[in-house]
Amino acid sequence: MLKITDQEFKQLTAYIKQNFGIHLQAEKKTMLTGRLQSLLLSKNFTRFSEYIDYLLNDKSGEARMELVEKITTNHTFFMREADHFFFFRDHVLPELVQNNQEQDLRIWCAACSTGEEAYTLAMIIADYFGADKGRWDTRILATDISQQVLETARKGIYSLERIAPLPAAWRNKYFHKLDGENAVLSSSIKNEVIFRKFNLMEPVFPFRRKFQVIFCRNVMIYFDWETKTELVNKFYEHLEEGGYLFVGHSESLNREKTKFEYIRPAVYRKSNA
Amino acid sequence: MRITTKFVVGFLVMALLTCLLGYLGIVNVQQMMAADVSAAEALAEQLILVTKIAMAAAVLIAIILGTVMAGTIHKPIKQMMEAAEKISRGIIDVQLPTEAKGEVGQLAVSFAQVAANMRELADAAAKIARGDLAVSISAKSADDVLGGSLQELLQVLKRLMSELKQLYEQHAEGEIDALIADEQFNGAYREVAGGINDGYRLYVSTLRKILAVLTGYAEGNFSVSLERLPGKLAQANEGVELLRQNLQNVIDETVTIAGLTAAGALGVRGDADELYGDFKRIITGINETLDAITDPINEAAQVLSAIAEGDLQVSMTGEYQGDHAIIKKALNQALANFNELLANILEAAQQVAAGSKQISDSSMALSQGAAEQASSIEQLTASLEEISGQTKHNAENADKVNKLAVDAKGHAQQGTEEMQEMLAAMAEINRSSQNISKIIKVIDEIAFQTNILALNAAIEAARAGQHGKGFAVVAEEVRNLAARAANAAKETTELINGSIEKVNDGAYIANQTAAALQKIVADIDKMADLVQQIAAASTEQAAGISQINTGIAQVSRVVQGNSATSQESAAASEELASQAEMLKQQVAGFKLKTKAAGQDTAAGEELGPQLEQILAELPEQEPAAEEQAEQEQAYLEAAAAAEPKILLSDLEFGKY
Repeated sequence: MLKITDQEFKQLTAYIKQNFGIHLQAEKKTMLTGRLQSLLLSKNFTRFSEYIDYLLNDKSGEARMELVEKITTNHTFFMREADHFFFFRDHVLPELVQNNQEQDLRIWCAACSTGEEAYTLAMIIADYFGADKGRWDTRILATDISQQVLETARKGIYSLERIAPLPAAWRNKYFHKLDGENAVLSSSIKNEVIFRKFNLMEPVFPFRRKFQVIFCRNVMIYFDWETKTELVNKFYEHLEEGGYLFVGHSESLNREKTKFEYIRPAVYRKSNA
Repeated sequence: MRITTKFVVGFLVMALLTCLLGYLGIVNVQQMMAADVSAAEALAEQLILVTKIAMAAAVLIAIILGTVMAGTIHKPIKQMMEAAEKISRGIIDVQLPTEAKGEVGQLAVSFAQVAANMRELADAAAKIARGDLAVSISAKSADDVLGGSLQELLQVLKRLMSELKQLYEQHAEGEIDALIADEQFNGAYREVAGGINDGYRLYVSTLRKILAVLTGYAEGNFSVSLERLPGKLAQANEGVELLRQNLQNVIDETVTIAGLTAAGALGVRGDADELYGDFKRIITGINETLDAITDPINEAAQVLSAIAEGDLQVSMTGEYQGDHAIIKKALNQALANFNELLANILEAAQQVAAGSKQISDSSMALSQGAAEQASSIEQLTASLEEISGQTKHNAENADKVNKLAVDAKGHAQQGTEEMQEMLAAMAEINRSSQNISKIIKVIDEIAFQTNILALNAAIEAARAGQHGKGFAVVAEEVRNLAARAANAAKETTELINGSIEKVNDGAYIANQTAAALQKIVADIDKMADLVQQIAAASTEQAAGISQINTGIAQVSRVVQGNSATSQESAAASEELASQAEMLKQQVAGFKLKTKAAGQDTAAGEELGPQLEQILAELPEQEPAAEEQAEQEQAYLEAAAAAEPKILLSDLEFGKY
């Protein structure tokens, strides 16, 4: 197994932080070397410094994407931190619908991983509108930096074990059994989510209009304080007045420094001017 | 004029004077009723004066009468005549000749006696006329009509006087219905008494009318009015009307003031300018009363206005008596209590504000810490989840490897068996090769013979000349074939020899391989054991990790709960702090008398010992390691500098 020197680790983690915002501390050394082991072997590198040179000279972006796939943790599951979905269903969505002249919902899952969160929101919205959706455009934007998870997400195929936490009504209504172990989402839900690759470290967010709701949960736990603050400020800029930001339950904002108004744990709001 | 007539005139004058006196008395009594005691005294003196004047007038008349009577006697007769003439003229003070004797003398004496009698009577009459009823008159005889009449007159006068006195006394005692019993008098005296009675009746009835009106006024009925009285009595009309007006004015003014005061216009005062005397005093008294009432009320109103504007530094300072002093004291006490209360509230609010601010800060720190914990655990959970997957995968792979090992073992054993078969086959090959060698020798000999035959055929073809040319070509070909066959046989021999050698080598190797395969079989056995162990261990690991996951998930829930709770607590204490701040500001809106100003900052720093202890026990945030951060910054910059701009994001986001 290839070992990493302290210097190499620092160089590599600095690179990772610079490009993806992920903050790897010393205790993550074993994890990092473990995850990159096979990659280095497959590329016949004998030292991490060679791999770092390879990364720094990467012109196509391919090396970077390989690294992303290796170092991102894409742990998620249906109904993760379910309180948020209930709050969205019972308070946020009715409010959005009521105050919306254009019949356009703009909701962003800023780190969608394998799509569970975005699809859950899509199902909540589908339930809310029922047959009366009319001209409403309720498509959700779901982004992640990892191509792999996006591909999984687009397929909309989940093991029966994974969809078990969902209400039986949803499983019956929005999923079709594929085989003994897997089910696939109906296209009516799949079409409601626009999956795109997006790096939250982009210096400029390219979106045309401001969002009404942003979900960015359990991503910023991998970021350091500064990166997190910067990102939260960008979210603030890209939210409409009165828009909501949902973060993970372990990602609370510093209430004295943020411009967001605290609504309840891990739910914040951009105040009306 | 006769003396009797003069007397009568004198008495009548006196009677008239008395009547005048009586009249004046009645008037004065009426005035006395309206006026006070001092005025009564003045009136009494006036009465006495009038009486004296009347008496003097009576005396004057008597003197005139005496002089006239005395002056008529001129030298006894003449003197007497003169006296008689004087006497006849009513002059009783006559000079009679004292020296005259005789009849004249006697006459003179008699005359003198008559004169003396007359003088006596005249004196008495003069005294009576002057009002001196203390005279005693005795009749000189039963026929002394003059003396008797005078005596009777005196008695009548005395009775009249007595009746008058009694009448006066009765009236003075309020017996206004009392009258002179006029039936005991005769003639003019009855008339006099009747006149007096009429006068009294008239005045009493007038008095009653006035009294009725006054009673009406007293009962508050101002609609009654006094009928127009004649002459100077009209003064009573004026007086009563004035009284009514004054009373009406006073009442109107009082009612107006009372009404306005009741309506809250405490600044209204009665207009006393048009009133006089005690009526003026009533209004000025009411005004003074109002002043006395409104002064403290005004001050209280000012103080209350100041309080309403938040100024609690005021107090009532005026000097007041009785209930006003109680109001002042109560208001000042209330103010003092408010001051103390608000100062206490301010102090408490400051403490709560400071305390809740600290709690808020600490909760925030706690929340931050809890969030960091939660985020670490979240990362841990995510990693463990992945490790769990990998471990499961490992176990599955180990299972597969185990199966593969079993297969491999079978295959290796099969290989060993097949190796034996191969060895046998190779021996067979060896034998066959040797047989082939023999066959090749035969072929070689055949080739040699064929070559010779071809040579012979070539010679024979040459002999045949032109016709043997074709045969020569065939012979040449045959010879070539023979050569090739020989060559092939030679090569084949070499090959066969090589083959035999190789088969021998192969047999050796195959023997070795068989041995190696035997070893492999043994190793695979061992490996399969180990892999089985790995599979078992991996399964155990997976189970263990699953348990760890469950545990971590529990810890995660708790930590997330802590994070949420501390956020909520931070929010609640923030809310508390802002409420306390609001309370503080509201109380600060009051200007307080006591110590409040200096406390604003001081009290905030002083917390209860318990609170301080709690706050001291709260965890402190650790400062970040700086030197490490610096180096990381350097690497970051290097990474940034080396970074070519490659997009890691899509360029198109549908409707977004």
